[in-house]
Amino acid sequence: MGIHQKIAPKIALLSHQSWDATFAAEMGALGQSELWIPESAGQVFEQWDQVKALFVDVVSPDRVREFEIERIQHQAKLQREFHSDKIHFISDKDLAQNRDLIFFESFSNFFVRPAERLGFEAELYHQMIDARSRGALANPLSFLAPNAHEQVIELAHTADKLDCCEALRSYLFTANVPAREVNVIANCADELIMNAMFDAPSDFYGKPLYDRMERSRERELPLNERVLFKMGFDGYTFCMSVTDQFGSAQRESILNHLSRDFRSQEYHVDQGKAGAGLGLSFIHYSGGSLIFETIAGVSTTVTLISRVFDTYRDFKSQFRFLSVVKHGSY
Amino acid sequence: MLNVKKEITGQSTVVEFLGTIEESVNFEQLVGETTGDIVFKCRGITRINSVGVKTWIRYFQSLKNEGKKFKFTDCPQPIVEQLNMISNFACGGEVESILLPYYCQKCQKEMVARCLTSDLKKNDLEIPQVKCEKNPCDAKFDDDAEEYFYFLKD
Repeated sequence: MGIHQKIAPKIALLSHQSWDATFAAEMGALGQSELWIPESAGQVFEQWDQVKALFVDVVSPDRVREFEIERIQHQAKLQREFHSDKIHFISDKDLAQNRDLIFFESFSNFFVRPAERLGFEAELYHQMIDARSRGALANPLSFLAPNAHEQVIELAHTADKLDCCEALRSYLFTANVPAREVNVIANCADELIMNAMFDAPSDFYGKPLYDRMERSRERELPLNERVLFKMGFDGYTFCMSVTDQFGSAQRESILNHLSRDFRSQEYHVDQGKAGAGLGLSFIHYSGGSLIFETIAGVSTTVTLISRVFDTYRDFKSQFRFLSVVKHGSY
Repeated sequence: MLNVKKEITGQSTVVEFLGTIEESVNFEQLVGETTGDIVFKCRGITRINSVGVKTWIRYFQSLKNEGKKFKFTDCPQPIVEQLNMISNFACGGEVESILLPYYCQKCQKEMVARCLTSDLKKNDLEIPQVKCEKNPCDAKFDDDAEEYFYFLKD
């Protein structure tokens, strides 16, 4: 045995839920990683370098607060940076009912615990963990079967958005995806492209350039404002990503928009802004899994992964996760 | 793109929407002048994006502020979803009828049934049975009833 013995990365679990234990064990098996159930968060942070992923049960906001304090203390003590990319929160409630979570710096990956054991989705989630642990960007094709064909479109005019959405609808209709699911996916593409065209562009100081510009105003996009749209479908899973060239998306803003709730409070039209402030929450509640990856000052890529089903009921209730990752500092 | 058909008959106006509601839609221009109570037929709406929702709320809120009476009929799933997600989406208008989605495993076919909201409420939000052309039919309501009828709960 050599001196530089490679230590297998661990899948750590801070939860007493049996579903979480099964899931973490499955993630470990898929990545040939050891499952480790430590007694405290502190233990995990002491051995953070050996952790591939940490699953945390969101028992209550107080418990998460304690977890966060522990993380900060260790960070200060060890003068080591903890990448929240490796922390995965699991809850019984959706994000709108877990709004406290979004203010914690350790919040990065989140999903609602499903009623049953995951099948195909477990592999999909493992792909995400793998990318997270390597600090790599998600590749849409990695979520699809090997035979999937990827299409890449560069959008050079704001009018291209609707053309792109219509082309996507036609493609999915031809692929026999049910109409309602097609319209939901097209709507998600619409929102993500609109954000990339109007909300992402910012000046040197980070000031938004077009947040007051009417979304109906057509304009050609200069080279540095062009938006890259990628999509692929393998007959079961649809995946798309939208990339801007600014990397201006703020984590807090993304999470705030994703978790907005207009059921219990009225929606008021903000005359000062041209956007509606609704798009991300629409996508989050109807689309599928979402991955936000920002390289500060360089790009933001939003990836959506949706499995298609015969029934909308299954489509809507499918397992979905959320991942918000930042590379570099803003 | 949204197309609008309008018919003014005596003391009321019937407006029919067909297509997508997005940022290019200008309801004031598309609908124009109206007389009396207004019925908005929504069956032909295929999707609505976030800026479309903002435009919708701005327009119908202004109708409400002008004291106009209006109602929505045959609201398809994209509109029902907004009614469920945004508490003030109807802006005080009556939602007279909605379309209920069904899926038949035998025909592998999506279908919709029109239902009056008053009937749904009267029957404690019980989902009506529908039949397709196959016999025996296997059409089932294709959504989460709890979610789909959320806006009808008091």
